[in-house]
Amino acid sequence: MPVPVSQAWTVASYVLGQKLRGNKRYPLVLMLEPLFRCNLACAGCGKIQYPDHILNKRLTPEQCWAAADECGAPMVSIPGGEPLIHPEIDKIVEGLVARKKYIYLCTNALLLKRKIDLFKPTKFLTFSVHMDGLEAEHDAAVCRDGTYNIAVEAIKEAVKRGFRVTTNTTLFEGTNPGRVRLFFDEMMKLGVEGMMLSPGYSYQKAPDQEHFLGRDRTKKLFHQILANRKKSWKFNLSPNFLEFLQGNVDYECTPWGNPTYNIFGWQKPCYLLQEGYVPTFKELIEDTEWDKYGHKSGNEKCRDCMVHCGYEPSSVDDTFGSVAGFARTVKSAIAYGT
Amino acid sequence: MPQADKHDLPTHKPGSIEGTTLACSDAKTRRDALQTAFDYRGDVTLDLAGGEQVVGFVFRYDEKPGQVHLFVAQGKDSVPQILSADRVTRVRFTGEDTAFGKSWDDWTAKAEKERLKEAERLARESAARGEL
Repeated sequence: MPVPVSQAWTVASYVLGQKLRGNKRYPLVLMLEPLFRCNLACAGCGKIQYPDHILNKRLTPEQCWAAADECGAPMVSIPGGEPLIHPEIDKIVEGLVARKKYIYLCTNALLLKRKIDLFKPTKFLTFSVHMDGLEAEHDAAVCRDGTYNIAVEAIKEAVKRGFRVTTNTTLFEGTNPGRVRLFFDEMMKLGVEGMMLSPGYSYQKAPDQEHFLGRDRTKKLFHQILANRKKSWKFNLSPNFLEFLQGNVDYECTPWGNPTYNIFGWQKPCYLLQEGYVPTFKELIEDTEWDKYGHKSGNEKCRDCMVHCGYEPSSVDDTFGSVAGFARTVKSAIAYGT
Repeated sequence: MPQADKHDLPTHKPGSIEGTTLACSDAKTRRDALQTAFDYRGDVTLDLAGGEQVVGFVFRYDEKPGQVHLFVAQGKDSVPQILSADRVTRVRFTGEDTAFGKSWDDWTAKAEKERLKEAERLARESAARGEL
């Protein structure tokens, strides 16, 4: 089982607690962006298009911890920007570990070998390394040659030192399913705990708007990749989300499931859309017009989205929402070995 | 180029609104201009009633109660500032459009050019060695 039992238990008991309290809108993963500065400029990324004075801004460790406390989600994902650029990233992680948060530090791994001594292996910390495919595909996706090989070396080092390591893969239009299957083989050989997958989303502010997948194409692609899957592949995702990606089950978006906090405040309504910011998590939950978002809402910006930050919380909610949902999860988990 | 020198440039980047100006003559044009400023990937200059100007990055625009939230550059850092929207008479897209020219197609075109250059260099070197 890729995810430690303690993490699965923490998440399960948290979600069940929310259900028992009748809390319909609860956060599952805090998306904490401590900075927007990155050492890559991927064409598909909509997170780093800012003037220098914005890219120079950092959340302080205290602001990060306060956001985690305010939100209360059991897991914290730290994307960015590149979080390892943050001069106090070790302190941020340390404070979150002290709060017993399960952290996914999302990194392109360019700095990982240089900064790895700043961290101690713990079940609470996972390095989630951005890998968009085999060397040619990954280097093309991140717009820099050589990045794949650096990341592979960093993964090996982190695994050797006993850190939890996952990969985080975004797939775009034109992806070759056969190459993705080869890529999965390669990643598992490196000894990663599991792989995360998501179709790319056409960020409103991303420079590249033409290489994102529509819904039908997404389902077809993921079916081609995941049908007849190998037992050696381990995924760090809800098994029902993998079913959703292949079109075997339908979910509505849960945009409040992965709330985003950054230097501007709490982002409305989700990790991908930027329609404004509010200073408190309470305002985000209570004042956002949630009915305007999600596939069924008819919102054009949500039309093609099947991204994990909206739909993985939906699949987790499904697991604990009914006996049928739980049975579906168990069946999928056995099939995927997750 | 310093921000101030860019103020009156016409747009010179196809597909970008960098260098353009939106006048706020009534509530609707003001709302549209400020929403465009919020969506813009660079700093803007807001001309205010009374002749004052504020240059910064608009990260939040609340139609009600009519407030614009900006980060205004101060040295290498920036500080937050809140303005009443009804003071804005003109929005000028004076800062660099930070996403311009960084698309996937731009990158592959550049990579292809570099590969062509490399091929030409190898051909020249091979020819010099009498291998071509």
